[in-house]
Amino acid sequence: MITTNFKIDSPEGISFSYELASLTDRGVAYLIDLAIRATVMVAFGIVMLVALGPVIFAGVGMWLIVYFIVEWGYYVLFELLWNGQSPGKRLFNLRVVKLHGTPVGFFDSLLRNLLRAADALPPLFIVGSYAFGAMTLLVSKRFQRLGDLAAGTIVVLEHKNHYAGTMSLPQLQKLDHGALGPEAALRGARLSTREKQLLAEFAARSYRLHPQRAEELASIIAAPFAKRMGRPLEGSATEFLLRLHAAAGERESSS
Amino acid sequence: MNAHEMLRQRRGDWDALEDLLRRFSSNHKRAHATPEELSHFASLFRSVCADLDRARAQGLSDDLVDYLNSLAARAHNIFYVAPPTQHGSIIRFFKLTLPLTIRRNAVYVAAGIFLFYAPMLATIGLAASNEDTLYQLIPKKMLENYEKMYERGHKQGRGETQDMAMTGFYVKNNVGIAFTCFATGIFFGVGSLFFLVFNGIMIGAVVGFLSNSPVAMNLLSFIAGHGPFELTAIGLSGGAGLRLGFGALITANRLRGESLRLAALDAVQLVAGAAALLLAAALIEGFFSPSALPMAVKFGFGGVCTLFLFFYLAYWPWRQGRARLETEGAI
Repeated sequence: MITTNFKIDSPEGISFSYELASLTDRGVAYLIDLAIRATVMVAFGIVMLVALGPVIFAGVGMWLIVYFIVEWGYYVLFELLWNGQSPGKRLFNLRVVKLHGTPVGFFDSLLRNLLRAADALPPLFIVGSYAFGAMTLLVSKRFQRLGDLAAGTIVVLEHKNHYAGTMSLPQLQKLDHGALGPEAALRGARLSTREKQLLAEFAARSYRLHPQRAEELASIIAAPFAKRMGRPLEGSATEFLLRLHAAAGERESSS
Repeated sequence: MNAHEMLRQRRGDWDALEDLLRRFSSNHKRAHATPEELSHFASLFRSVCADLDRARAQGLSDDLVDYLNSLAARAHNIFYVAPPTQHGSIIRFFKLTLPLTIRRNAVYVAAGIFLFYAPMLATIGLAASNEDTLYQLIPKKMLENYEKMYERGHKQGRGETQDMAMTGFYVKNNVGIAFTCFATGIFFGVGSLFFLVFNGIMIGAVVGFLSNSPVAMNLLSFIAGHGPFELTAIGLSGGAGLRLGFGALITANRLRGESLRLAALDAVQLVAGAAALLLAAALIEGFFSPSALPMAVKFGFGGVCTLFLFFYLAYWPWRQGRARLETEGAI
């Protein structure tokens, strides 16, 4: 199966998964890095032109050497300084990691970035087209270009600020359990883990939905629950599900 | 416990870990963390791992599991950061690690150097004996342009500022050639093979053509200093590319990806060695080669460098290294 997740077993005895960065994510990050490098080189060129006007040959030489350093050293330098991130990757929350989720070292970074010379083939004007790299990335299981395959690295997408508001459930705390007491609610309705999860997900999502849409969805889910509890579904289905969710949580923590 | 309660109880720790991750996103700060910070980091990381495990086992909301998963994954990467570079590790690399790698991959290194030098020397010979055939390989016009560049006379040294421009051009160009010889080796060695022979012929043609011209001594004394480093670096890079390509081609009962990664471990060391040679070449090319020193000094220096390189590539691992080679039975 093709999946964008890559599972890693950690020494902590748990496994977690990384989301692999797609071709588009990486392409856009590459363009940002390319723009940064181009800007640096143009700016440096102007400085050389202004500072060394009369001795322009020296300026050209310096510029070519700096160009060489920037061309081959940019990625290696940043991937070492920022633990697998270049400015473009950082902007899009991408990170280069080893196959085991550990950070890239000097030789890993050197290898994957020198091999850009192969990935970038065939050339397109003065930059690479990255056709080879893109092709390899699309056919490889872990979205790796040639440099990644050789160095044993993957590029992952890190999620940040991904929870917060959705989980705080302020309204849930305000709900009055009296109308549908925990005991009453759960009489005859032993909820499975999956069902509790479903309720929790609905509770988390309900605040992001338009109330009418939430009610629409809730009525679909709520009906089977109400039926099992042997009571007709009255009033707001959203509220019914939120109460059931709160009750399920309370029952568990009290037991 | 439901997601809501877990969030209420544990959120403080999660936020604390987020703070640490933000701070440690720079390797410099991570390396200079105090012992208290590190032990705090360790305990937070492990507790978040436990939270993730619990959230999964109890089937808590997917949102929460996803969040904890990403937090643990990010922390894992920073927690197991590569150890800081040790003092003296660069010296050790050139004194022991690289020579041992060269021994292990002697076939590839020799092949790379041969595939580059043989066409080069052959083309130089061709230029000396039969110029017309040479012009069929490379247009005369192009070669004459090179001649013009050297005519200015290195004996007196060119204008200093022009040296800088030329040095810049050569460094960029030759480093590009060397790294391309390496990188294209991943196509089962074919790219390295092609670029080694191609550049061998091109460079041989230029040198051969100029050797016949009145400015021959200018050119030869100019390249005598940095030539051995630069040319050998191209051969070594190509050899590293061949190593990479053969790793991908001949898997010896391993998965192809694994075989490639294993070959790459050696190849990248060889190419790092080549990069060091290129750096040396650039420095010599910038300061020594264009200087007004007598030709004899330049040729003498080139000779010493060639001997040194031959010694280093073919013989080097000194005492400690040789002892290790013998126990490994690598020679």
